[in-house]
Amino acid sequence: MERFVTLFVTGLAQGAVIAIVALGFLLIYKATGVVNFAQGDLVTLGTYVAIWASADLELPLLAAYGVAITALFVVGVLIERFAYAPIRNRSIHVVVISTLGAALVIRAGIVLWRGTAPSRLEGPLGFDIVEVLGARVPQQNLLIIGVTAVCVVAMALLFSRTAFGRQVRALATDRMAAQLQGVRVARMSMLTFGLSAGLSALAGVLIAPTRAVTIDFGFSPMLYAFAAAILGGMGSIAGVVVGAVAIGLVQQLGGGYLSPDYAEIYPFVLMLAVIALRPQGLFGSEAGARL
Amino acid sequence: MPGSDAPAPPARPPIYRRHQLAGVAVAAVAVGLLSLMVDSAFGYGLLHSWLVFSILGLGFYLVFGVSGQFAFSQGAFFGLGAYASVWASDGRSFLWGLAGAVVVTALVALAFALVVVRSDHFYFAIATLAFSFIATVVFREFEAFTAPGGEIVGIPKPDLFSHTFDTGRSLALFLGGFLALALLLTAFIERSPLKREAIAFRDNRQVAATVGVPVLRLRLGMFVLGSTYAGVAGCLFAHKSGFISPESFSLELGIDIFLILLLGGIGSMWGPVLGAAFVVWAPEQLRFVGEYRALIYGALLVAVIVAFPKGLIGLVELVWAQGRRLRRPATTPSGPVAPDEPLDAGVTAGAPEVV
Repeated sequence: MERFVTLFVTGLAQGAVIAIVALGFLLIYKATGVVNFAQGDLVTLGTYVAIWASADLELPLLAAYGVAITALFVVGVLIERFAYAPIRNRSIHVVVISTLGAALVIRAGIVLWRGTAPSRLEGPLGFDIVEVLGARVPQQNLLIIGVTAVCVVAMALLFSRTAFGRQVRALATDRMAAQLQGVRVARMSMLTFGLSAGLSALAGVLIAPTRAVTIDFGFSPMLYAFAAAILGGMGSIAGVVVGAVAIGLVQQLGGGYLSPDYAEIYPFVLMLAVIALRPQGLFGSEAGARL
Repeated sequence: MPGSDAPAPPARPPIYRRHQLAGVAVAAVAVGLLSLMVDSAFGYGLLHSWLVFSILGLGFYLVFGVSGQFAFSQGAFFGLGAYASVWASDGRSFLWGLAGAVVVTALVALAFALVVVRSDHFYFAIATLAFSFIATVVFREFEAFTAPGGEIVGIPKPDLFSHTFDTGRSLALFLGGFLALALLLTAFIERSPLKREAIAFRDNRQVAATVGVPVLRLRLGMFVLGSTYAGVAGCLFAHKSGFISPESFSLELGIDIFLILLLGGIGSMWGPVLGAAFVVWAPEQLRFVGEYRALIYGALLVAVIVAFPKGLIGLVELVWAQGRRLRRPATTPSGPVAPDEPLDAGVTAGAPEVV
């Protein structure tokens, strides 16, 4: 039971971080139809900016988080300007490959800036442990779950209650009609790229205390986020969050009870099964034709 | 790189006027000459890599360039071919390894394609990305098939009928023979209705299905064939370098494969050959920029896509067409090159526009 609780909470925390990355991905996808393959490297970059701000600038941790999220917002806008805006009217494949190129540049930039040695970023709670139902659980995991819950609610409100969210939904439903109704496409895509990159930074700083930060730090969260979006049917926020949590749990419980050697791939086996048997996602989908 | 410039009889359809077969012959001769000219181990290393990566890129040309399937799995099949060939040729001749690589990659590609047959676009892309990720984990962990940590050393050089290709020159000729075969097969596909059907499928699959293109067979067939190219390339890679590890088949390789195709030119079977030459040769020339290399690479990828969508082969074709026009000023501007245009109209973009 203790073992189960530990694995469950860890899986939930993992799923929560994946959910944040996936929300950022979904945001860009909804507003522009683009799948941003630089997302993983944005997670890494955000974490390194936070490390830099807290270690080199000696800012308090929360201020460092703020610096990271703000900086990444700017980076997201820059990516939109240089890797997306010039080719907005070209084939979606070209745009996706362009984001791959952006990922390569970010990656190389990080290596130049911080080197390849693994770094660490502490959490605001240190390594304190609390007991939950008799199991020892790192407080960081509870923090991750809490922050994610707030974040998801905020995103849901943003989507459903604000003019910004209305415009994103309009773009997702019918791009041309939205454009004709006066939605400012260029501004929207800059905003969504920025916001998405900011979310990536948030996910990065949340998960950083639980592992070493290397250049490949953001890759598997990105891949899991894509898988979560597929499980959730690329549609609603709720679907994506449920998909993300499912992936975190499958990974931790599968790793704990089956074989830890293959823990990384259980979520993808689940995803391939979903693609084979229910390609519209577990909760149905409204986004079929786009890449 | 296209071969003779003798004017073709006007009655032949444009597809046959492209001198693919002459091009293959020229490429074969070029490889032969190169293998004679090179005289250092380093030069041979580059030449061997170029030949192997050309085959890999040709396979990806069939999967992505011709039939428009946005797959990240090419690098994984490259690795699968490498491991399968080492596994099958253990204690036996190279041909066993080659057969093993072909059979294993073809079967796995078919099985995978059937699993994801209902997915398209983004779903397909992510499924192939997940497949690559799974493959690297399996290479590392499944030690009965690979080796502890997935690292295998001391793979023997390829041999054929008890002759071992262990010198740089003979190995280059051996690999060149494989490239020639791969080019030949691709050229036959280029000239066959298969290519036209695949382009129809790529550009609008509903319409293609309506006019009787066997969409499912085409999609599976192209994916399996292109992946098998990767398997063969992997087999050659393992035996030429004598050492493989899961890191040889990481995400960087996947990006290199995209670069090979896009930089070379996605609209022509000669594109990946040029692209592979660039991907092998440029890093050596960029050595002086040292650690900025990866940065330049990524920026180059974006710049090429933005500014030069037809790739290097587009430049070659432009020069070629200009040269023809200069030599034969009598022909109308829409002379010998223009009839190809309708077929190639969507080739640069690689896929249908999504509005």
